[in-house]
Amino acid sequence: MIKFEKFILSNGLKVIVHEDASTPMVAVNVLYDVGAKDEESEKTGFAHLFEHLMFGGSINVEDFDAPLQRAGGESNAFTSNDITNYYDTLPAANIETALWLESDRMMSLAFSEQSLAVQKKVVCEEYRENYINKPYGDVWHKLRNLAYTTHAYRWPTIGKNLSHIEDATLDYVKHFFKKHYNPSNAILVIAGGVKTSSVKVLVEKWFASIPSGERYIRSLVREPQQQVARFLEVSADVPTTCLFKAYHMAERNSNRFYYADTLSDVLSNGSSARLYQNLVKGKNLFTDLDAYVLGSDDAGLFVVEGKLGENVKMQDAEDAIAEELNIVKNELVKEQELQKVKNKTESSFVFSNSKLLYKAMNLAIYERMGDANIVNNEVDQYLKITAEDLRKEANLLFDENNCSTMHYLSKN
Amino acid sequence: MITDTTLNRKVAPKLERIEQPSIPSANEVDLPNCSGCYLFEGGSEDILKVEWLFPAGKRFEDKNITAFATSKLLVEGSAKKSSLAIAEQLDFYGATIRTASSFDFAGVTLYCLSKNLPKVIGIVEEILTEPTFPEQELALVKQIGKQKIQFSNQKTSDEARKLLMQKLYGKNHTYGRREKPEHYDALQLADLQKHFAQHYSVKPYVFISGKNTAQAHDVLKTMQLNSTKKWQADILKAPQPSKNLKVKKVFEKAVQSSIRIGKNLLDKNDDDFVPFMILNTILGGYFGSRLMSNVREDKGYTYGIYSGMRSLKDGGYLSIGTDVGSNVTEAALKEIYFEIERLINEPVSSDELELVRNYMMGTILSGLDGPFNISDAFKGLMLYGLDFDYYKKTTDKINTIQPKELQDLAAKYLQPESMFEIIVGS
Repeated sequence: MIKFEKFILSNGLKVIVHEDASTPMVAVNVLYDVGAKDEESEKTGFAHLFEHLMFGGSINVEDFDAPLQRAGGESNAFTSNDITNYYDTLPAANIETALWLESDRMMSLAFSEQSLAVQKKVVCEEYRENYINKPYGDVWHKLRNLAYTTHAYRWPTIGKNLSHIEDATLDYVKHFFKKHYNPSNAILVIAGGVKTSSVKVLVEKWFASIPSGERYIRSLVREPQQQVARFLEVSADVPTTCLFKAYHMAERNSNRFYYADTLSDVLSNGSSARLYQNLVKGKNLFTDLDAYVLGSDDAGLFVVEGKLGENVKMQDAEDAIAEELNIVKNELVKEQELQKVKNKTESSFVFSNSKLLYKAMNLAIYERMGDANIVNNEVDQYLKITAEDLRKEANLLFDENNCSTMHYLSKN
Repeated sequence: MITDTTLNRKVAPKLERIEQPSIPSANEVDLPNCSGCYLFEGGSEDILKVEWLFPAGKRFEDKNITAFATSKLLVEGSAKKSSLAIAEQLDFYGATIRTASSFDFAGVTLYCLSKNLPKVIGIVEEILTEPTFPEQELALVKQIGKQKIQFSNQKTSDEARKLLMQKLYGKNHTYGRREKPEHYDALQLADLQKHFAQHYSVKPYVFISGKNTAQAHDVLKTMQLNSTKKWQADILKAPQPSKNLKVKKVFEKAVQSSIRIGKNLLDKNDDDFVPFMILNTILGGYFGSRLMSNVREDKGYTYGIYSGMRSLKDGGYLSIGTDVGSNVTEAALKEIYFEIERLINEPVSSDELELVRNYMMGTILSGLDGPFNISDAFKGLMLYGLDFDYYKKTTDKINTIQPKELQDLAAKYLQPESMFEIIVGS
């Protein structure tokens, strides 16, 4: 049970404080409700590039990192299709330094031409390192583009291509900041060896005077229901042939999300799970096989991905997966197996709260979903699932006309 | 914009200087058939991590990949349970066993909810006493292993790392030896059985961390391990570094060059290790380091650049690494050497040193935050003949070191002509 207190500043900033007396550290997590899905289709990768610029100096503070390091702290951030999340960890005694820095960059950036020019290059190198120079680096560029025709999930957070990053302008940086980086679009979580009463005073001191700005109302185009099976064959200089199948699933705040997530656990969570036991070990068709969900806000993807074993025919690999999916469509998961999957879920909830920073992030992410307390009771959504729920969900998901299949063939 | 009349945002809040982070202690307890057992109690959740560590890493193998394959196959079947039955039982209790082998050690780590330890401890006992090493599991490990080597062979960064290790320790040294697909083909079950019989029969070190470690210790006392051999001092094998300092390897399609620069250098037992760690932090050990500030934050040549020290039984090394755009390879090299020479030629400013002092104290504080971290920190010292006094030595040094000492260390250890330089790219 994670205890916390929540309050909202007059400018709309939501604040959550969790006291953990067992640690001398504090985690300060600032989540902004903006991600790659908020980008224009010809300016992709921008939310992530912007994340880099948040470290390039703010209106009153030339450098973000140095003062934090001087306080014994560290910082980083990540961008997803849905959110941009910034976090600092530092000795609890120096918490005010993090609040000073975070509040200043929430107020306004320095908007430096130099920082933009350098970070464009840095992000282009990040792109080259992870998406071009690495075997399979472009998988998600291709798979998202196949599975989504309309929704902004069709591009990855790094962006569709290098030129979108290279073309970014300072004017657009300013526009993006004004549109998305407002207190009312943010959640601040402070977790660690602190007292809520004194944290409140400091948060008021540094954040209350930030103008609330205009509230951003999101209106994204929905992905139309897929009507026919989609297929893409790629041939690349990679060591092993891979198979990807992506099925459209429900949005994050639906019961169906929990059914799909649990189905993916039945199929592939832990080494006793079906796909690994039957197709990797039993039939030796794959050397690696995984089923997982993309828990995105809007309708996400249920993905099955596997690396084919030596000399295995793609058709045999396809047939074997179809057979496993047919089983969950037609037969009820046995009670013992369902209980196993639920126990595993329960255990992973406990482990995910064992690190201070994860606790802070989880609180922010759940607050954005509607209530930070979901961190304490979401597990119940999993525990009440029945075998019949899973069978029904499998029938909704696993239809070839709801699926994008990609064969990623090795040229070697 | 609203101007705030009471708050001066240009001035940083007052800092509290951490001069002496509280250093934990290791609670050593008796455990039959073990070389030592240590408890680290704490944390906010009811979870446990228990680690059994053996002198059974790569340095003890007769044939390439034996240590890795033995460790992989440990969980794949015991005399009492099939691989599936083991996996089923662990998954049912939400527990995980990770087996791993490094250059110097091999270990089995169990993660579970504290209340479930009695339900799964039997599995650890079985796999450590009667593993069966099934043939078909070895076949799978071979197939996966060969694919991983092929994957790794296509990555410039992996290639550069492997070349550096080869240069530092020599082709015939455990650390410098390269793994090839044919090594997998040559591997026999008998090799694994022999490796297990010889090296997992040594009394392990056991580390228990998390909530309710005392009860966990009681549970472990009921285990029947076959380990009887004394943990012997290691027979060390000196590195055989290459004479040829510079290597370039061409990957025609690469869009980046992977650069690795390094040398054989100090391990935790050397007196200069602690002060050198401070110098290394300044050079490339944190986000504000000179290499990161210059090569990434000023020039934009790379997504990241680091400099790090690694301690190994047969001697440590320094490694500086980065992946840079192909067209800026030479320019990036120039900046790396520029930063190294600047440390040799100019004293570090007191302001920068003060920042690094505070930063390092913060990392010590967070590195010792929570029982799992404390256990890992202790393990990293104990296995190399040290204990938590190392932290006292470190914090004292951080508090007192002066620019002159750092500059002398740079001159002593960082001469560019003493470094290996590996470049892999187009």
